[in-house]
Parts: sequence; structure tokens; C-alpha cells
Amino acid sequence: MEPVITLQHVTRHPSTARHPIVNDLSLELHPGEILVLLGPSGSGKTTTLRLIAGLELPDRGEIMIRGVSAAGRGRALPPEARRVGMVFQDYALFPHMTVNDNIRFALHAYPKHEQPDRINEALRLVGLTGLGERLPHQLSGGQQQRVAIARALAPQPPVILLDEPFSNLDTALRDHVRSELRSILRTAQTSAIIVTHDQAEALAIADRIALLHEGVLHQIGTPEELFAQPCTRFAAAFMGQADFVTVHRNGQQLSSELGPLQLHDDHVACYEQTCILVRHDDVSFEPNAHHPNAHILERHYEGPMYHYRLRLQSGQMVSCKLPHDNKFDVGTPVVVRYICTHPLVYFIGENARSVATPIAL
Amino acid sequence: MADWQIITGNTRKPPKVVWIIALLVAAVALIPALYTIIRAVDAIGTTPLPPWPLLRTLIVNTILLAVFSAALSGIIGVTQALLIERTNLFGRRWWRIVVALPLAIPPYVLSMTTIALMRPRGIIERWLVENTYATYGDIPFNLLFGLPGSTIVLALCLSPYVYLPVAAVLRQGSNHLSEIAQISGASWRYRLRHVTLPLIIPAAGGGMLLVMLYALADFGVPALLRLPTFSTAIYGRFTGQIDRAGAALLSLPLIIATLGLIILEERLAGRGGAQINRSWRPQLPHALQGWQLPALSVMLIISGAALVGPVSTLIYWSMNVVSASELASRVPLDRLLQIGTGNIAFVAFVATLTTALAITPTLLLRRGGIAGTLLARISQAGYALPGVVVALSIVLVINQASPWLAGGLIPLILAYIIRFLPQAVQSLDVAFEQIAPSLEEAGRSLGQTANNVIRQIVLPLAAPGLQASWALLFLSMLKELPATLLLRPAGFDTLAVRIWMPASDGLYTAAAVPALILLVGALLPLALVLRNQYQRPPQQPSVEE
Repeated sequence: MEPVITLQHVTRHPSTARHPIVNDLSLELHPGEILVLLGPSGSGKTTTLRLIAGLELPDRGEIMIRGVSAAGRGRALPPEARRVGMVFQDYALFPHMTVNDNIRFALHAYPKHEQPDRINEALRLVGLTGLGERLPHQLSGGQQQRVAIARALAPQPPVILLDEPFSNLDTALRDHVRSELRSILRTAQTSAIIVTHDQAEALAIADRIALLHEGVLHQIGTPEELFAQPCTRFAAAFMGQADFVTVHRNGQQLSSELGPLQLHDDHVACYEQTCILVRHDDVSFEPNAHHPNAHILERHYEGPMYHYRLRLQSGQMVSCKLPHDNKFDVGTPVVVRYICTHPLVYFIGENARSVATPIAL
Repeated sequence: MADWQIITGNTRKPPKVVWIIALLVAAVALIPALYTIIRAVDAIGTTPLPPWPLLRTLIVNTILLAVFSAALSGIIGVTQALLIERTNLFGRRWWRIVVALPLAIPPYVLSMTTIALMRPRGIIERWLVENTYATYGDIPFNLLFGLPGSTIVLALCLSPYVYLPVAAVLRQGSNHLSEIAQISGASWRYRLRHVTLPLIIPAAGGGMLLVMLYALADFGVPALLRLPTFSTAIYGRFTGQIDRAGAALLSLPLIIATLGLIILEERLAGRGGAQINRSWRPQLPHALQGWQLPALSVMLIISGAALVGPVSTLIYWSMNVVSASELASRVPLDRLLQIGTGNIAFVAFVATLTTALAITPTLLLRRGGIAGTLLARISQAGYALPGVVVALSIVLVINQASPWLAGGLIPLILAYIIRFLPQAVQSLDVAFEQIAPSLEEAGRSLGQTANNVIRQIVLPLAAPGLQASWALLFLSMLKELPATLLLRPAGFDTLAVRIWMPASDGLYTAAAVPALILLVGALLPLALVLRNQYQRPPQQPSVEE
């Protein structure tokens, strides 16, 4: 199927900025897909969204919407001609218009007699039937957001863009709104690009995640791929609690303080020393006063789990979580080992990467 | 799909029609100013300057009047704002309205009543001599004329220009700064000096610069209080000696000084100011305790001099006939009411026209890139022209280009537009800037053209600001004196003219009734201005639960 949106080598570099805000970005959005643009603040994700909406123009590269060029080579479609829905971070509801009028504003291309049905349909989709005569300030934050989504979806655009859609909602409401948004998008059969800086949110809602850092696309793939097989050390660290443990090559094996690992390919393994990515679910520990290889440095209580920070004898740190009935004091000597059977990623320098599987002892 | 379009700037860039109208507005504003400067430069060398002693007097008087009245109104405005917004002053809610009321009183009316009360052998001195042991000349009432009197009268009338922005900062600004200082153990004296005053200095400075601009340009006060300044000298040359080249020449230093102040104001504007955050809570007022009475007396003395004195004098005059000659110079009441309604209708029309014309330059001011900003600035050229000079330049241009326009209302309308357009652009800019950019962007991304977004989103949301701007224009135009005196066609009377004619001959009681009618006419627009000041217009709804 033809991609809904295609970005080809898109660069945005305002004359006032020293570095490009978006640097040579290429990606595709497939029909029905939810793509999350993830990155820390200043990574260019909101700018990318505004480039697609036509609120800013790229300095190089081309943007295609449903196979038609929307911006590139000095020509650009104005935002109103792009048929792209947008939900702003502050929702941007027109404060002087009722909910109905806000939605009607988006439907001016439809004949007058069709508009009431479309408005009701949009309100039903987001579960706000009956609130059409309210003014925005008479609605709660969650309701305002749903009006913004209804307004963006009402003209049935092939894609809607959402800028930090959950950042203005409190934590309790967030999970609920997230799953609701997914089902709304599925029902409307609309593709979506969502911008967020929250990796947990990205993992939960995305079909695919595009990870941006300083304007550069680091990795694009399914949430599982990004979490388990990060391409760069930045990606590894950004996607969740990550520790890097030094490993030494020893023939077809790697040795580490946590135990040996089996190499899968050897063309990058010519280096003597590399780093392996360890997440808290890859290791476990038990107290051992006789042959410890680490001791407990910190303990944080997280309700169902205790989060332990362990200091290895070499001084390197790893994290590990144990159920809340395993309460050990800080300073306890422990033995920590791999418990995972899936391959772990190791890095040579910042980027080059391969995998190795822990050898069960 | 819509047509291909080449766009290079931002999406808030206004459509072509806005540019075309703005270009016309800028031309109207620029041509008279430019032509006056050309005529003045031509006159250098050919037209004799006034003798140096007189010129020196003009320079010194004009500068001192501007500086002193700005300083005094700064002191008055900041004191009032601090007492009202930061202490438990008795009747704070009423004071808020009372201290803004002098905006409705034209400085020449206050001059007139002050002269009657305070001149040697005036009402107050006569009362003192009759009722106490004082004799004539014990108290130097003759100081009233000249610089001291002009300074006090201007400062009393113009102090709202300082009070209003400073009070707004104190009311809206983040008080966390002051609270954190209090928690850190700073005394109120220390907080005032190191937290509150730095916070209000940009607002107070901006207000004082406005007072300076007004004082440089003011004609009525120095004319009545016999202080020779550039404004009165230009007026004299223009009317008495009918020496237009000389008048243009004298305008040059005034234009340059005004331009300098405007550049200064530009640089001050936008600095500091108040950031409004959602967690704003009103600050606990400072308890005055034993200082309640002194503070209240200060407030009463200022407002007594600026409001109670002039208004009660006007009412007394209009009910008591003093002499036969003054009775003879009185215009019948029904004729005055007729002039008043005509005047108010005319001013309402020109204020509406000016507000409408101000929309396009304001849109370009921050959305049109460098070219747009330039065009908007050019349309503010009238700012650099005192009323006397605006009138002069319009006469010069119309005589040169289209003499058939002279004698009608068009020159006067043009003068009001050129003189007050900058004020309109400034207040509209504030209104437009309060609209979140995302609202306009949302409008565009929902498929509406830039034109539609301006019509359906920007203008309706800016309506409270448009209204306040209109009201301020109405007030200024109703009070305007020199341009009206010089440009009004034969038979066209305004209240300002009806006040001025007898007042300049010393027949104050004849001026009392038109002055009272003017005050009543000014109350409605003033109420609109105050409502906008004290009531924040509905904005982006809060996104909190």
C-alpha cells in the first residue's frame, strides 16, 4: 500500500539556529498506522510535526502526502490544502465558539445540510454526545482534548498529528485517555503521528516508534525492537533503565563480571573490550557473604517491587528489581547473575552493535 | 487539492489585501510628516530663527516641562499603584477607579480651574485673607504661572498613564518572587527596593515616557499658564504671524526630540513586565496600621487636586453668574448640547475609522516579517508629530496638493487619524498578542484560508481589545485641542473649542458648562477602558481539570 506520508531527506535549518533542528530525516507513515515521534526536548519532533502540517517549511528535502508533493523544491501547499488534522498541545479550541461551532469550522468544505450529521458523528466518536452547545471553558481538560480530536477527525483526514497529547492530563487520566485514543483512531481508520517525550507512553501506544535526537533519526521500528535491540547507546539509554557492563573477548565467548556470553557472529568481535547493555529484568541476585561479586548500594521502594542499585567489584553499576517480599539492607554482599535466555546487545563505540546470549551456568 | 502556492515565511503571514491597505495607511501617515520636514529643511537659512534668548527659553522650558511632569507623574502613579495594589488602604476598590478618572479631564480644563483657585487674588487667597490673618502676597501664589504650575497640572492629569501599567504589573505579576523574599526573611522595605520596584520599573518607565511625549506636545496647559514652549511658539507663528515656513522650522527640533523619546520607548517596551501563570493567587496586602491615615491623606490630596477641585469649581461656575460680560459670552445651553452631541458623534465616527484603519498595520507588525514591521512603523509616523505640527503639516500638504479639500472636515479627520493611529496600533497589538498562535495555526490546518482565520478567529477574539482601543481613541479625540482649533472648518464647533475660546480670554465661567458636558461624554468610554483594564478578557480556556 502507498504510504500516507513520506519524508525524504527533510532538513529544517533556520538561519538563526547554529545546528539544524531537523537533519536529513526520512520516514514513511503507512495507512492505519500509529507512529510515535519520540525524543528528549529539543530533538526536533514537534518541528517535524509542524513541517508535515505545513506550519513550517523544510529547507531541503521533500514531504509527500498520499503520493502528492506537499513541500519541496521551493514549492509548498499551504496548511489549509494539506488535509491533515492536527491536535495542538494546548488543544487550541476557539474560546469564543461552542463545541459544535469549533467542529463546524473544520467542515466548511462540506455542504451545509451535511454538517450537523458530521458534527454529531464526530462527537459520538469521542464520546461527547450532547455537549455540543458548551463553550470550551465549560469543559474539563480531558473533554477539551476530546473536542480537539473530534475537530481534527471531523473532515475525515487520512492522517492526524498529535503534539504531546497527554502532557496536560494528570497521571490517573492518562492511561485511560491513551487506550481511548487508540480505539478512536482504529474506529476512524485514521493514521496518526504522535509526538511525545515519554518513552513509556510511546511503548504503550505506538505501532512503530521513530526515535529522534538533536534532529537526527536514531532508530525506527516496533516498540519491541527499540526496547530490546537499540541501535545506539543513546537509544538504549532513552528507551528505559540501561546499564553498560564491560565485557572482554575470549575466543567465541565474552567474559563479564556477571558471567560468560556466547558470541553469535565474529566480524565485529575483533575488539578486545566492549560494553554490553543490561536492563533490570536481565539479571537477578541473591545474598552471598562467601563469594560476592557485588553489594547493594541503594534500595528504592516502588510498591510491588524493590528497585536495587548494585555496585559490582569493578565499580560498575547494574539495576535489578525484586518482588517486595525480598527486602535486603544496603551494604549486603550479593551474587548477581544473568537470568535471561534472549540475546543481549553489545556496543563497540557509540553505534556499532551486535548480540550475544548469556551462557547458563 | 488547492492551487500550488509558493510560501516562504510563517503561516501567520497576512494575505495580500492586508498589505495593500496597510500600504495606503502608511502613505497617509507618512506624507505630511515628510513634507513638514522637507519644508523645515528648506527654511533653514532663508527664514530667520527667533532671537537666541527666546529660542533658549523655548528649549529650556520645553525640556524642563517634559522632564518634571514625567518625574512628578511617575511619583504620583507609582505611589498610588503601590498603596492600592499592595497595602490594605481603606477603600482600595474605589480608589482603583478614582485614580484613573483624571484621564477624562483635559489638562487645559484643569489649568483653567487651577488658575481660578490658586492665582494671586484667586478664590483661595481671597478666602484666606477674609477668614485668617493672612494678607495678600503672604503666600507666593504667583508661582502658579510658568513652570511649577504647568508641571503640577500636567502631572495630575497624566499620572494615570503611569498608574495603569504599574498597577497591572502589580496585580498580574508573579507574586512568588515577593513571597519567596518574605519567606527568606526580608523586611518589607527590602522587598520593596529589591523585588517590587525592579519589577515595576519597566512599566513605570514606559508610562513616564508617554507623559514626556504628551508634555512635549501639549499646547493648552503652557498656553493658559503662560509658559512659552515650542508648541505655543509654533501655534503663535502659525496663527498670529501666518509664517508657515517659520512654523515648520520650529517643528523640526520638536519632531527630533519626540523621535528620540519614541526610540527610547521602543527599547524599554517588552522588557520585564508581568508573566501570568496559572497558579496565580492574590498577594496578602501589607498592613498599613498606623500609616493608614497618612496614606489616605496623600490619596485624598492628589485626587482632590485632580478631580474634586476642578469638578466642583466647574459646577459652582455653571450655577453662579459672576459678571455681566461673562454672562454675555455664554453660549445658550441648548446650543451647547447640540454642539456636544454633534462633537460626540463626530469623534465616535473618527475613532471607529481609526480603529478599523489600525487593524492592517497591527497585523503586519509581528506577522509580516521585516517589511511588515517597517510598514507598521511608518504608519506610526504621526506619533512623532505634536498636534500643532500635525495640523501644520496637513495645511501645508493640502495647500500644495489639493487646495479644494481645505475648508471641509477632511483635514480635521486626517489630523485625528494621523495623530492617534499609533495609539490605536499599540493597543491593538497588545490585544492581538494575547491570542495564542496555536489558535491561528489550528484554523489554517483545519482548512481555512489566512483571510478567514483573521475574520473568524483573530478579530472576534480581539474584540475586547478593539473596544478598549476605540474608547481610548474616543477620549483622546474628544480632548484634542490644537489640531481642532487650527483645522476646524468655519461653523464647526467642538466642546474643546467652546471651552478654549472663553478660557483663553480669561472668561472661565463661560467655559464651565461645555467642560462639564465634555466630562459627561468622556465617562462612557472611560468606563470601557477601565473594564478592559480590570477584567481580563476571556482567553484560551485553562487546560487544567
